[in-house]
Amino acid sequence: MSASSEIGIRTEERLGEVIETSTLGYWAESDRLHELPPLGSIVQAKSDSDLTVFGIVAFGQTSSIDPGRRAVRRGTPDVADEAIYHRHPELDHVLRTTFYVSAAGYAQSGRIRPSLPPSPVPLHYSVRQANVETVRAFCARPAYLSLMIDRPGEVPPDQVIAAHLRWVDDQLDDDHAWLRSAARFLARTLRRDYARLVTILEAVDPELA
Amino acid sequence: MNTGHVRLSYGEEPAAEIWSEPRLYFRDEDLVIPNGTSRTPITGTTIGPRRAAEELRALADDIVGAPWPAVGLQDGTLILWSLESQSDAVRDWVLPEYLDAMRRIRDSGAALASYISAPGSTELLNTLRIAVCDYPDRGLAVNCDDCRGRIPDGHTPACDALPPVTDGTLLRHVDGLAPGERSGVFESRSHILRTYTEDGADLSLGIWFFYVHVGYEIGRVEIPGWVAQDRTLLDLVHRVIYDQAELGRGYPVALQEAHEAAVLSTSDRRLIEDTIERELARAGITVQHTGKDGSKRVRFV
Repeated sequence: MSASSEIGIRTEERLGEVIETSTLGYWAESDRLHELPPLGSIVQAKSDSDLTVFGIVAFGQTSSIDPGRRAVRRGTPDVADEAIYHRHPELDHVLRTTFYVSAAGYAQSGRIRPSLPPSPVPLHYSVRQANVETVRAFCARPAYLSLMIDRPGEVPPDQVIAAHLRWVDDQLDDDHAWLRSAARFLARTLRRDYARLVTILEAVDPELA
Repeated sequence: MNTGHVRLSYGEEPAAEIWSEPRLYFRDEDLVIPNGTSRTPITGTTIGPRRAAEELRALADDIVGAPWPAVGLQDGTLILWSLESQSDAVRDWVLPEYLDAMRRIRDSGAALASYISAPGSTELLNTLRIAVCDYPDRGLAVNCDDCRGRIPDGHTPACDALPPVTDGTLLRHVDGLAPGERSGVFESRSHILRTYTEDGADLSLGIWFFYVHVGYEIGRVEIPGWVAQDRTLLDLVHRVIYDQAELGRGYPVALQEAHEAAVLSTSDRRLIEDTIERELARAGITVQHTGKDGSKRVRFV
């Protein structure tokens, strides 16, 4: 597999840095305020060793850098939106954008596995966007979706999965071939929970359900 | 000592820098004030003015070379009142660096000001007290000690006609200072300022003050002579303080963020103490805690 042998080697755009990490996933702080990868998108973080952890963006937020200081209203009818940041240059330093990534699989020795990584992503390491070849290789077998189905989080897992299906479908631009196979996989996995399957598929595209 | 720095640029290309400069003083010579052949240990009361000198030095370092117009803002007062009761050794340890920083800021063309929120000062009220004093009418010099000393004999000082309020209250309720407005500019007569101006030889380093209604409260602004006597710089300071307080919802945003950068939380403090203890332990020195300190460190019921 030529695609998978390149997994984790290519340098993709850096999105941010891991600030809290566990086997199940990690929190990352965006390099740029307000900029974060879309909900459901695939990102990757490489350890020193031959290990790249793939994850799905499951939550994002922008808030005060200090939990003891809440953001307050800064605007007026005359100064709003972008102009607020122009008037308050210090906001770039006291606010931050963070996102949570659910671990969904990993690559080691050139092989991709749709299961939790053997060790957490190292703290302070870079989080990078996965490019389309990586997405294609990682998503080739949708078994990793079963990891996501029961993953609790700030965002209900069904919404994360639906956002993920839409995002991958957009990236691959393959006339929905992958989306159909992922939907079939979910139909098998959720065969005893038809209502939930319909909820997910409706969230992807009302016509799918 | 941890100094918080904030540099805010406004206009076409707004920008901000926020940082802090921590310094650990631990050498023998760091812990004493040089005093001829003797050495005076540094205490809580002498560290305050020393910190003020270091802050002003840091402000001078930051502002020299900044594009015009620039305003250097300091939290609190520019008048080192506490030095009045200190020995010459303590003054010599603080003032040369403090005044050197003021001269560097002056020579850079920048303005300098300090801001006091909710000031308790009564200098204007005290001036009014002298104005209503009946001693001069009776051909006597104003002598508050003598006047007050006669109260037990049934004497009522003439200035008791004035209520015991702060300058801020006077300006708000009598003068009717409105949001955005400033009071007149006054020169402070504090004794310590004679050392600033070398007994009047360099008036540009004397300290003046005015009050400004920042919308939420009346704050006190202190400025050196060179700002007080330059209408452009004075108006600039007035505008910047008002704008900063508006941006900071009642308190200048630059001072707010500098405070946030400098303040040590309990956990920061503990971390620093633990690091110092660890380093000392590596050198074979153990730290003996007091019983009270120990009970705070390991809390139990």
